[in-house]
Amino acid sequence: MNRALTTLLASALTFGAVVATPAQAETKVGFIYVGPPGDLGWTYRHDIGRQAVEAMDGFTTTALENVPEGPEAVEAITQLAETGHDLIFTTSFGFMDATNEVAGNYPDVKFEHATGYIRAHENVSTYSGRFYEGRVVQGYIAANITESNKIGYIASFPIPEVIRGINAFMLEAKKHNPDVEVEIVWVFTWFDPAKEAAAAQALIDNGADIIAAHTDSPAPMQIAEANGVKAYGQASNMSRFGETAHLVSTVDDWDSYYVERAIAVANGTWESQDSWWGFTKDGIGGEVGMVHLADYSNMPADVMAEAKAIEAALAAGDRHSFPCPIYMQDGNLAEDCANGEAHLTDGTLLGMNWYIEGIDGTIPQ
Amino acid sequence: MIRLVPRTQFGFWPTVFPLLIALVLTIVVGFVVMLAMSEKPLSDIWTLLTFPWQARTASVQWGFVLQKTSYLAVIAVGLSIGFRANVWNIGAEGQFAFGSIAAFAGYLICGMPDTVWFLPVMLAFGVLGGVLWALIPAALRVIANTNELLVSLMLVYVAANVLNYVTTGPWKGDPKAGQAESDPIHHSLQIVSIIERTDFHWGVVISGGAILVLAFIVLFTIFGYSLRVAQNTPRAQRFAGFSPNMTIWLSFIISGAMAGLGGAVYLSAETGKLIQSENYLNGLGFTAIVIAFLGRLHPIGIVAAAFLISYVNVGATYVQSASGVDDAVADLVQVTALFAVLGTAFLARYRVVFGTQALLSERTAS
Repeated sequence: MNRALTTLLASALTFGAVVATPAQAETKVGFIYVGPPGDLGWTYRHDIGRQAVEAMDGFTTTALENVPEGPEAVEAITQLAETGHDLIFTTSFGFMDATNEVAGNYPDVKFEHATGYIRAHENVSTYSGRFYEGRVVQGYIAANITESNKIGYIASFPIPEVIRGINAFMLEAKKHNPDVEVEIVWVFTWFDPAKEAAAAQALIDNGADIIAAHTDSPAPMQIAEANGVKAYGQASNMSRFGETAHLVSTVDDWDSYYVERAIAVANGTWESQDSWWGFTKDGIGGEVGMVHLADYSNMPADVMAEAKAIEAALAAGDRHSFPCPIYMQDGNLAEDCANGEAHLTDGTLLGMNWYIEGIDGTIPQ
Repeated sequence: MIRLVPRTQFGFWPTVFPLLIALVLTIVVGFVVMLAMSEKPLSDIWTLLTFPWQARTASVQWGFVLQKTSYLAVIAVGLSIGFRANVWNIGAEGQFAFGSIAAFAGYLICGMPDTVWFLPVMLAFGVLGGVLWALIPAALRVIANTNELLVSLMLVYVAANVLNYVTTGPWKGDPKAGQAESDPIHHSLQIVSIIERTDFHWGVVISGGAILVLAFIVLFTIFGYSLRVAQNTPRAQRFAGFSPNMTIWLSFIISGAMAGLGGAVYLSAETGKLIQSENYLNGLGFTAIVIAFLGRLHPIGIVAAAFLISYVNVGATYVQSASGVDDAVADLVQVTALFAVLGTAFLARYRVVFGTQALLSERTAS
């Protein structure tokens, strides 16, 4: 700090610059985006969250867009820390190493990494949404409206976050329609409209009549619309990209979390933690969470009513997304269930690297 | 009446004066751009010019600037050899990528050594990889008379796809990484910082050494002199003992070697592993082409240009972080500088004469 102060003074004296003394009343919050807010998906929703912080008195925000998940991320995050930001959100899984590396160099700055699991320093928190709760509702809908009994699933990377979604989807779908099958395509990207579109087309050509995507662009929805099949919106409300294709959108909702954490920094109450909010913050019907479903459409009224009932039960904590018994792909009972748990524990979900029974294929290793 | 008269004498001022004009033009345009993009342009311009002193840690800022300078300069100095001889290698980005791939391949071939003494070998593999990749357009030019500019450019995309192939295929590392990447090289082979917590690392010194060696050869050896003479005209080439084909081979070997070295250093110092191309390559090989011309294809000019452009680039990210001005301002400044330098280059070769003097000199000329 002394060094920073001396540098500030030195520059003020040398160049006669008017250096604004960092007013403590103003809390500076920085955001690192992997894409442009115009991606209409993942980054767009984070930017909506940023605007919620910006709207509060006493807070200013800065966002760096299109930051690649390679070595350039270190420079971008460092520059936010160097320009006096008090709190920095890095909003993609691939920023995990860079976030922890920079955090070690700036112990007085707070860092929040989305969807990661490494908190190497006291000043790093991680956070994510229980997006799999949306997958449960999607799985129910798919089981009831598919005619080919074939679901096409576009998966990004074989990380627990993505595998959890596939499992939640198929667990619920199999419950209501044992004949339903899923074909999974790994595209190894989060945002590549061309690749996502090609994957969607291949799945449809192979007989899928419902497309689920764990990637960020609306391309799969548009391909579904063009082929007359159904699809789900991912990360943001994508109903306008599929007038007849759109079933429901799982919308990321970072607003309340960003506001809560920014206020915690301003009040000096911020602590390193891991937050995982679903449809509701506490999972039992409390405050707004990080996930909500938007615009149920293009399905029979009774399916829609039951889907909404499942959503409400998950939000209120009346049921769990992964209730026991759950059998793994190899036919064994999941360890948590064997241990007498009522449902899979968070620890199991966070490290999930296996398919449930009924999913063919292997996870890329 | 304004006339342009070719200069017969080249002094200090005819060389430097156009550069000064270019600098002023760039500053003026940069100023106008800032006025349009920023809410408080004066303070943002001030920040852009003095960011190392405004940041929390000046050494961190200088670290970024020197790191970028070293990559741009090492590639650009290599490219300048060919550019002087009208041999157009614009595929340095691909040779850079292949340098990284070859360095990693060398690491695997030699059984993943875990000692820093292997680093020179790994860098040599990188140089070799860059040369091999550059030899493709050279060979096609010499053998089949293809356009080396197009071939070298297209090979950038091939190299990027090779990088994607090895990181998703044979050398795939942790699939949970959230991006396609290889396993990391042993930490003893990862180049470390000279000043802790900054990007000023030993790779900057290695690149600097390579630049010095090449600059010395070009400027002070008979070989370098022959090369420079040979590059002026095909006739002079024969007098200097080079065939046109030899010039093509040498240009591509030298530029490929420098880009390959850059790629190997980048692998060791920045990432420690190969990563899918869109997250690994960030256009250094293309920016270096601009740097080569900004530096007038002269080693000293190139290092100066690389430093200035790096300074503006780091500063632009800093200004974006500090006050939200889009860092596209750096690209605009870079492009303006290129146009200004190329546009004023003719002033070094021609004299502008006005009025009757123009007519007089025309008469003298005829």
